[in-house]
Amino acid sequence: MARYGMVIDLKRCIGCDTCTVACRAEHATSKGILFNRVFKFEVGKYPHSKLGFLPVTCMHCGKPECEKQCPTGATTRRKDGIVIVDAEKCMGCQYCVVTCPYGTRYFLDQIKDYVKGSETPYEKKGKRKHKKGAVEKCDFCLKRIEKGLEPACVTSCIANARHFGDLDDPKSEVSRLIALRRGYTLNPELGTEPSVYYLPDY
Amino acid sequence: MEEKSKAGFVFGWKVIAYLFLAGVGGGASSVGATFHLIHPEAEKVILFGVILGAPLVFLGSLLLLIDLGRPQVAFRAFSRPNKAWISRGSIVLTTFIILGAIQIGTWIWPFQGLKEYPSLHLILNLVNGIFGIFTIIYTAFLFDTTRSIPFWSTPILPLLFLVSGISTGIFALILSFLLSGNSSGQWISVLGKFDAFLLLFEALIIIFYLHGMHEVTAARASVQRVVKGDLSIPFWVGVILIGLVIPFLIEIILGGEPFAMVLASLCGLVGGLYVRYVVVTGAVKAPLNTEGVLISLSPRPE
Repeated sequence: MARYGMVIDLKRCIGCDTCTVACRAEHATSKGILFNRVFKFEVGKYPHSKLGFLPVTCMHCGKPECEKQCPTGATTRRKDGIVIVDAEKCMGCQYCVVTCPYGTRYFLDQIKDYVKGSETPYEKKGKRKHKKGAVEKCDFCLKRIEKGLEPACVTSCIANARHFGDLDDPKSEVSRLIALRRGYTLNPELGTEPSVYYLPDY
Repeated sequence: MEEKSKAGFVFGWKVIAYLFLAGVGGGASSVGATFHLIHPEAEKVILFGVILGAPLVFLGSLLLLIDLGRPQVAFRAFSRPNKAWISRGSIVLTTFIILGAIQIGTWIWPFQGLKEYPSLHLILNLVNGIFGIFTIIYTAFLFDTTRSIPFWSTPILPLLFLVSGISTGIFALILSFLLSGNSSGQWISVLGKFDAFLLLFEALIIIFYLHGMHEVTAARASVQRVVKGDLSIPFWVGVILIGLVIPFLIEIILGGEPFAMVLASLCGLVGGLYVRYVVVTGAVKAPLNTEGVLISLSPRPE
């Protein structure tokens, strides 16, 4: 069984937010909800400072805090490593939103159109995917994976900064990149064992 | 972008009010049960412990229920007691409320059959009191296991919630005593003295808590918000002055005065509410750590 993971090359990322928009389009997320975000920040001090980018999505942790704290069993980690939320089981206590160290979970308190009062046909169709009152998040585009496609953020990245594959296969592109470029995870001190790796920007 | 991060903090007034009510109810119940064991003649203390306990916790639980996004599937909260603190808490709350309801129903109204079985009543009340303690502290254990929020991730928090819960429970008992016209009871003075000790202990815990958290880099932002930032007025005025200093001085100087004790109790209860408010609202998520560069997830503290 594959263990899906993602590698994000920070040397290639230009902070264009194409992944953010592609994710929103793929999942038709409500206004205010972004399963994928790109943090922009300053590194170093003037005159030796530079702009840094950090795309952040669900880390699909090997030891997910959200799954541990979920009282209803709505959050589960599949055998392929993808952490999913069953909206039918979710009671919306939102403790997973609090406990996720990466801030990648969202409570859908209200389904909002992007432009108030002008629902597009795409939004109308997309609303069926969401359950008001439940928590939602990135699922590595599970439906695309089942069709043999890569997640939308990976396919759409204009800088080829994102890679998706099997972390358990040492020959896969993601495994090779992690080994060659010394891939690292966010907040390793928490011991959550994320499946999203970053390649340094040097 | 117009989008704002919703990954911040989701706990609003309903959860804060629940934490307060669970503290008061659990505290009153456990103090009442303790009196049942060591001073069975203190009937009024035992009575008010039962009257306040389950109804207040029930009220708090209702607030939790309406705070859920999908309350229609709330029954699922009991699903994972082996892992999730919320599941354990749901079982604790339900057991506590059921035990309290049994006591009220068979000892106070509509039936009084339990009066004929004092030993059974004592055991029932003691079990209820133990669940009262669990009711107070399970949320603190839940917070303690939340590693993403360093301000909560400390074993001092269960102790703070426990002491604050018992203290507010005693205030509620004293207030109920006085408002129901039992001002001459010797137990007010006993409870008042014990509570003064608890307030002193609570002050020490708060000092250790904030000092300890200030030493933790990731929690320092929270401590700064509490001590000199946007939460400084709720903390210094609400928690310290109204919640600790005023009731402590009244209990020490004017211990037997009914009016003074009403004032002390009201202040102590307000202080207990502010303890929950400051702890919950003071939470700041640990920043994202990308090879030593720290990126704040939540709004920056002042």
